[in-house]
Amino acid sequence: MSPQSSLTVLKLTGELDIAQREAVQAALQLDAGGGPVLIDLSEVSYADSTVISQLLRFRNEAEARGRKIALLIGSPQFRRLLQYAGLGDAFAVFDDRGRALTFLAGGPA
Amino acid sequence: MRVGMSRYEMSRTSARPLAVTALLLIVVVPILIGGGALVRQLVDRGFGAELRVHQAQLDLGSVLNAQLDEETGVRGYAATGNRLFLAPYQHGRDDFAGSMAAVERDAAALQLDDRTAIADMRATNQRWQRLVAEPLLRNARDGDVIQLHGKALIDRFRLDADRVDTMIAARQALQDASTRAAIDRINLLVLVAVVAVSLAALGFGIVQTRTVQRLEAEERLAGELRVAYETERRVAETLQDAFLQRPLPTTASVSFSATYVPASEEAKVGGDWYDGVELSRGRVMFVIGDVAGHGLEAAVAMNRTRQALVQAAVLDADPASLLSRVNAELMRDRSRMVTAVCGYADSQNYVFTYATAGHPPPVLVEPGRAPRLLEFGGLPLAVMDSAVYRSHSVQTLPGAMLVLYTDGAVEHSRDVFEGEQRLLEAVASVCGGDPVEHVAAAIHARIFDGRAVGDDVAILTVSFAAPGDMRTGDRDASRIVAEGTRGGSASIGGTIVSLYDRVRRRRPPGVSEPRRIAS
Repeated sequence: MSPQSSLTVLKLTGELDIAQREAVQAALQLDAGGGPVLIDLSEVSYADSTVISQLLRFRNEAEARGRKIALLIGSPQFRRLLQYAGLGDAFAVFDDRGRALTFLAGGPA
Repeated sequence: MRVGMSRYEMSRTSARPLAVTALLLIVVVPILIGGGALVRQLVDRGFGAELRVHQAQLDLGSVLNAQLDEETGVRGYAATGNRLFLAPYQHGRDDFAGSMAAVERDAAALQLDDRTAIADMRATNQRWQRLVAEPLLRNARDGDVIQLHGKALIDRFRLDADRVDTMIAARQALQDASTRAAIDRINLLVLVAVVAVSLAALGFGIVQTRTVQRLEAEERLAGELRVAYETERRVAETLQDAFLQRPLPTTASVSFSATYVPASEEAKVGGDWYDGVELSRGRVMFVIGDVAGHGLEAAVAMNRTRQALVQAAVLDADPASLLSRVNAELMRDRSRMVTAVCGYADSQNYVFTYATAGHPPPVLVEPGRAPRLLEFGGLPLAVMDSAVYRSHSVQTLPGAMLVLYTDGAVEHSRDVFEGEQRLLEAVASVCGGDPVEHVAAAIHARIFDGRAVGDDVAILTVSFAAPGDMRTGDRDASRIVAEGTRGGSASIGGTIVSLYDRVRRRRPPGVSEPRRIAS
């Protein structure tokens, strides 16, 4: 994978709870490309354990295919929930889009 | 953490057969009414035409009779000279004009196409009057010649009359045909009506049968679902009750308090649990956890995680390696995601050692200090093989209390910082006030203040006895021994036996007897 590989952006918005499970599942699908993936959660204020679990599953799939992932976070409340879930251990988490993109462009995962 | 149960809606469709029947009637009734009017019109027309044909035939007969009277009178008078014959002649003449006019009217009414024959009849009669009857009545000479000429004219007249009669007969045949057609239409209409009514009845019957069958099927399914749901709920509740009711140990130096309040809106069993186990004198293990989801599967996953944690606690004195061990086991079982905090309370040294896995941070309260959130981190269990957990040790004081809780205690409002603040305030407000065994329930009450609880909430507190509480004086509260966490290994043999006995004694119904882990 080269830094030039095209970037995939998956954007989720709103409060993500069990009711949005299907929609989140549909949104979190890896495309056929080989480039890095930015999961844009900058407009997400809440996510319950179902969605956390879905994010982790997606991360495992992406890792298995050698694709680099970054999470972009907007709401501090949501960042706190991700801290609870220990997601900092599994994801590169950014609150600045530029830094996230720099990270993703920075070479192989 | 909850997963709502999908509700099975039953559709009541008994209004449909009525709608189908109404639709059929709306279609059929106008057809019948319109058809009836059409048939009646056809019959009226046929009947009227029949009358006119008959009248025309009568009128034509009258014309022929009148003409015959005229001819008879004239020929009789010519042959005998007797004036007596003038009466039939006069009578015939009088009748002829009226009858001829009647035939002309009939022809118009019957819309006969060719009226030249009728005109010719009138013209021939006039010629006969002028050229035959009048000369003969004047006793003209050459009577025989005139009579011959008259015969030719009368033949022509009769020929025309025959033509008119033929035309009337043809009209009658036409009328008969249209009457037959009308009758055919009546038959067709009756047939259509019968078929339509039969179809309506059949359709109604089919729809009704199907509706009844569907309602029966739905009722059966609903019944089965209800039974299945009730069974699952009962089993899950039994499992959870069995575990939640496992008594927390009471020791002289460490006290527990706990509360579990299920979500108020749905009578479903959640995946929250807590445990406290006395491992050796002065040393207890504590766990709080939350399995994602609800119901039997969550209860079973909770059971498994719980067993694994308690068993691993015997082998490992380090909370982080305990979590790693259990994570590996749950990954092998493809378990649901689980978040947990587990650790040890060492009442000899007033040390809490713990590790967290995807779980909100523990709260520590020390005498004279505001409650604070402790360090936390680590991924939930059962999501990644390579997850790394970290142990944290907190040196505290006598009277210190650790508060563990599940996410429902802080995520009740969607602002989690507000939730944390509320929790810390609740913990601060109950400190010292409530008897130690009611502290967890009091914290729950302060947080929710009677509000409906949207998620399951479990709260577990672990407290070191304050100097005044001590029932045994075998410890020096001020003594702080820098004993490593592995320092307890000397007593592990004894711990296993006591844990084994404890678990066996408190084994809930339906749970297999724990195996002795080490010999």
